[in-house]
Amino acid sequence: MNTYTQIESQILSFIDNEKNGNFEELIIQAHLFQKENCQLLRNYCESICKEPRSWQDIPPLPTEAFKNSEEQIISFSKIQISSTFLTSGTTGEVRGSHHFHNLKLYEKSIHSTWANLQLPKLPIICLTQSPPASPDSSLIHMLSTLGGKFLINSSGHLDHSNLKLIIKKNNRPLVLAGTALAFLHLFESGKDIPTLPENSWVMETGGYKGSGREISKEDFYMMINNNLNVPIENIINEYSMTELSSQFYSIGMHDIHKGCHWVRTRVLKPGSDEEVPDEGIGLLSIYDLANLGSSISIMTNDLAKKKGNTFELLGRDKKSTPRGCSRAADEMLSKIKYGHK
Amino acid sequence: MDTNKRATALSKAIGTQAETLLELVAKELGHRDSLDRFISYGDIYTRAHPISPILHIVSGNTPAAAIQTLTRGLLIGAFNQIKLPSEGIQEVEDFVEKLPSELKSLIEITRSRQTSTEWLRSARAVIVFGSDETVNEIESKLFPSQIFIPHNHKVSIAVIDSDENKEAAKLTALDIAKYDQQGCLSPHDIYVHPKEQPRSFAAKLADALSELNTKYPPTGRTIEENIKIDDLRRSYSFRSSNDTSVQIWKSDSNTDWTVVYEEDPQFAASPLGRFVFVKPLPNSLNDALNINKEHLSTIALYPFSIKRAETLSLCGATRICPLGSSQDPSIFWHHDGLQTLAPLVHWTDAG
Repeated sequence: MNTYTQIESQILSFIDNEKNGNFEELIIQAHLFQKENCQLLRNYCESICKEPRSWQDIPPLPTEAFKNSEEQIISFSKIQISSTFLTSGTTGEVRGSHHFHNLKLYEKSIHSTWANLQLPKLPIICLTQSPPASPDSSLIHMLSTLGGKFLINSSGHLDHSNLKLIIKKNNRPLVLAGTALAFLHLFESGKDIPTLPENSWVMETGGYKGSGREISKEDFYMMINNNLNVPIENIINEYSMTELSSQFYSIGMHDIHKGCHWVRTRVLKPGSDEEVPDEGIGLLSIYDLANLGSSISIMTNDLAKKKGNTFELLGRDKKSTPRGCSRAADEMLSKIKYGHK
Repeated sequence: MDTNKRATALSKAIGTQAETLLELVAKELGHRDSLDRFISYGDIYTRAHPISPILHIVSGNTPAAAIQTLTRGLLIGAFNQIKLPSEGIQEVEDFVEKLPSELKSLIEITRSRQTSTEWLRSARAVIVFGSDETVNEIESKLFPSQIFIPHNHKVSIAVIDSDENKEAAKLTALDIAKYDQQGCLSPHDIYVHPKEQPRSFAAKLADALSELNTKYPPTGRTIEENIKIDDLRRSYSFRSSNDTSVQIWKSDSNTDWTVVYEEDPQFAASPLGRFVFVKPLPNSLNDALNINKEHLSTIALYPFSIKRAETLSLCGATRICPLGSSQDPSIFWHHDGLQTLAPLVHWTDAG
């Protein structure tokens, strides 16, 4: 069996050029390598499918697996862990840990995805903390890899004056990036929000997980348009997870999410490992060759509509909490709080 | 209509004896005629008047609870406004259809959020079924003079001390399958005495749920509910593949039913939808339920005895019932430990 470095090298080459390899062969090889080197993953995968014959047979690993504090989901020695990103979690919730042998594949995937999908080659200004202030955030590392400048200080406050200064000083198009919640906070801050230079873009990500907020994509994009003067067709949604190493992007209101040739997706019927038919709705599972150090197949909690070989994201973390007798009251409350139609 | 006539009309709609409803009035209000005339009360006389209107904010997943709260409001003669979920509750609408016009005129139904928000301001009593957060939020919108009866998030469990008749698994399956385990009365966790081999009991329960599922498959689950079940199933499948203290049984190719055996006795919350945990009954159930005691509703007990109920009552449960009847509370039950008619009346004294 090839070593980590040998397989990594093959995948890096494949990311560079699709003609340098075969997705199916590479992912089966990576999966066998991961099973060989990670007992947790081996035990789970073999309880479902001992010998996958195609990439679709590889069981997607639940994110719960990344929450084990004693044994890690790693395909290399524990002492070789060089970086770790943590999942976000509400109070009292165990956070998942995604460990890396190195960040070559991760960073290669970030750069190559941005380039392959022809996303704007513009300066990126981030409504997030910087990597030193938040070293365990995969999102912030991603933005840093793309050359982002960071506007939220270590105590969590947005530097409005710096935002204005950067925009005034550069006076050329840029990408303003941040979580959907960060944009909402900016819009609701009551402070003067600078209009972005013409031909600028916005990149938003993350949904409203854990915030209790529910705003439709249409309403949110209109808020961006109204507050920042960025046309809706210049708004990018980034979709990924801490447990992954690659990203998907959609542009504007009705676009499907696109990834690159080293990632594939399946939309599964809840309660089974069968894929839904085209246009069917189910749970998104992601196969990411850049995840060589952990698990190349990940089960998300996200609801998606199957669109050929890709997907339309319908909602992030759509798990309903066990509410008992609460449906009517919760509906009523949402009216009282947010005035939804 | 006097109380006797209302009880008679209601008894036909809910299939309960009018005499039973009148007995409930007598137990809650001291006398079956309390709402109709002055009755002797110590050295004075007193009579009750319904607090009216009552706003009932009810849930679609537990139609029985919705009908029960409406029945109580009608029995005391109050005007009842009901907020149904947007998809409606057919059982409630069928119930109303069975009532005579005099009682129908005491009911107003809406599915509209706008209307129910307006009703919230004018109601003299508000009965709400909802999550803790929701109940708190609605309470914050009320005036101090409004009576507020919350039925917030509650969970239930079952305790099986012994199973000599080998019927506990089937009775447990009934408690789980009815109303698709929605609501607060269906057990999340089944605590089985170690001498009854809890892991083997879990396998029997899986068989019983599977059998029940062929006759009564779940209907009307949302995709969000299925996702929650799927997510927890995969988490426990991962755990069971790496930890012999956990085992999972589940329906094939769908989310219909799930049984998880877990040696850790600490209470685990089910996502509902016929998803249940089986755990060994610990020496101290109190400790296992520690974080959920304030939310504990029902303990379904097998075999049932008042003597055993006395010891379990110390766990904080508001109801201990025979296994198999979790979802069918008596008309006399103290819903969430509270009186059901007494808070809905006020009194005029004479003498």
